Amino acid sequence: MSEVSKIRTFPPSQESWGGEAAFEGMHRKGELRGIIKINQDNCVGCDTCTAFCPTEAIKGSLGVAHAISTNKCVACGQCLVNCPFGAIEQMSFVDIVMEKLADPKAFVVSHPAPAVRVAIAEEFGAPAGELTINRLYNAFEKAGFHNYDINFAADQTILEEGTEFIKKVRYWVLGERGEDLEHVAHHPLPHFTSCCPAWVKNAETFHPQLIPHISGAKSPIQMGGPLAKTWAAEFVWKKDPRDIYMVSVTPCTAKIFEASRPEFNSAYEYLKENNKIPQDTPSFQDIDAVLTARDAAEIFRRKGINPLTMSDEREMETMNVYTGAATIFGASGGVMEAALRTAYFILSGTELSNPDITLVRGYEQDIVEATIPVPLKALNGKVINVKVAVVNGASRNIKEIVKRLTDDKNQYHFVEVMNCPGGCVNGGGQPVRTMGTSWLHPLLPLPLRA
Amino acid sequence: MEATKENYFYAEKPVGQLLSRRDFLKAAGVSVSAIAISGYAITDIVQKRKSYIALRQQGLYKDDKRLQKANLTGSHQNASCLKVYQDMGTKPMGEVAEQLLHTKTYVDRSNLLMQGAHHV
Repeated sequence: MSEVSKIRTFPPSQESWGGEAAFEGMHRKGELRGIIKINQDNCVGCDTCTAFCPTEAIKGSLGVAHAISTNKCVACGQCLVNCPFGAIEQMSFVDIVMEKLADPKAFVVSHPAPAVRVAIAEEFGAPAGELTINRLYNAFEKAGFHNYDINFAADQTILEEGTEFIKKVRYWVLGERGEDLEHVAHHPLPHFTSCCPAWVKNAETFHPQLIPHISGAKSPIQMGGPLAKTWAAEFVWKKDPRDIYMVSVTPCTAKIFEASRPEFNSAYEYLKENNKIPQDTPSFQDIDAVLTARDAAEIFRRKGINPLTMSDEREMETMNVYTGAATIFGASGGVMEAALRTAYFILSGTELSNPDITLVRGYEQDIVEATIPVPLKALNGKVINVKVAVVNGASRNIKEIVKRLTDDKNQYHFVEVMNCPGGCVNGGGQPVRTMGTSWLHPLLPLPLRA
Repeated sequence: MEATKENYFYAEKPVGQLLSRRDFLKAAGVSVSAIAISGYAITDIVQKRKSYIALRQQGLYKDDKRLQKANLTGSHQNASCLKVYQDMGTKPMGEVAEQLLHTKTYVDRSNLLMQGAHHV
């Protein structure tokens, strides 16, 4: 296996957030655009990237320097990871976060995603898949961060999304009616996951008919942001929420876009409504900055920190508690497996005898299908068959899953969509080690493409 | 200029003079090993080029196993999550949870583009 390649970055400019208009093209005011950019001087026009783009957003043919359509781009970064010439660049907030770390008034919080802990060490010479947990926490602490593990927020996501899914099953499968189920009457099955921001933007742009099916539960990061500035500020850190600066560390470039969505300032709205901050406070986002795993490694390098040499000892703190269900979010099929573990427990009243639902794990297959029998406690053990599907990579499979839903009988209850093949572990913000061989991709027979 | 039967004459050299049996074996041996080695190298690259995805996934499942042993298998076993609901006076999909943890704002972006269309 080869070394990790270096990816060029650029800081956001004033235009990155758009002008004063309420919307421009397909972006609303304040939403970041142009997160992934092809450097016209370095692009040789090999056309490799177009095969990896889930939305056909890359313009240009063989031999011509390519360019990305800002409107169509979902910022997933798959083109960047697979470019054999390193010609694709990423918008980076490293400089802005470095400034905040130097500000003594700011309480800077690192919020690392599951897939980061199995990849960031590669930037420091470790083999792929090296698991760093306490070493990573200690490295963040040394760099001046306070840690809040996204995995904790991922558990919160499962509790919210699992509850939502169970309500949908009660309304749409079991035919129950009642005041607490009114909300889900507008959100029919199949239930789509909402954790992947590239998938959400893809659906909003190209499959708006699916919007009512997407889970209303936010992604783990967007649950972590508001909880940090409301609950943790008051009950754990005892800090003024206005001083908290949330930095999520993600395997993903689309999260940079997600954090800028204007509606994701719910901590601000909540605090203002409950008079916990002065009414004239200017609005702030739930997540202030997003770093990719590569960016976080850059911060460590600038500060002379190597996570691999940090101590592996650390006491368990409230903000870093998480379960196995949360950590597998980073692998394709993981959100599904995590949701099923909790939904099964709530519906049947007992724990799964074997919590490893390997049936739904995606690595080699494009679309994974499975049927999970769940006995219902409320109906004296009557069994319902929950039909699930996991979409492993958006570039080839979104059209297929939409076809299966619309042309064929609508057969699924729960669909997980991961934009990147293999899940977040292969995200656009991860250390890049495709060895410049991505041009092979279109030539390979299907089983070898995974 | 057209070649005619009369001025065309060519006799092949005997094979032995061009390439002796030993030479042929040498050449064949070298080409077979060159093809085999490069073929192996290419197969190796093809098989390994995406192996890092599987390795990273294995890293996560290793973490999962570690937590399962500590009786932290499903999200409902996370004590910190339960503390959040307790402190905030809410429950999953309760009023405060809805305000902080749910969204109603998915935008039909195809429609957004149409609204912005300039009809000159």
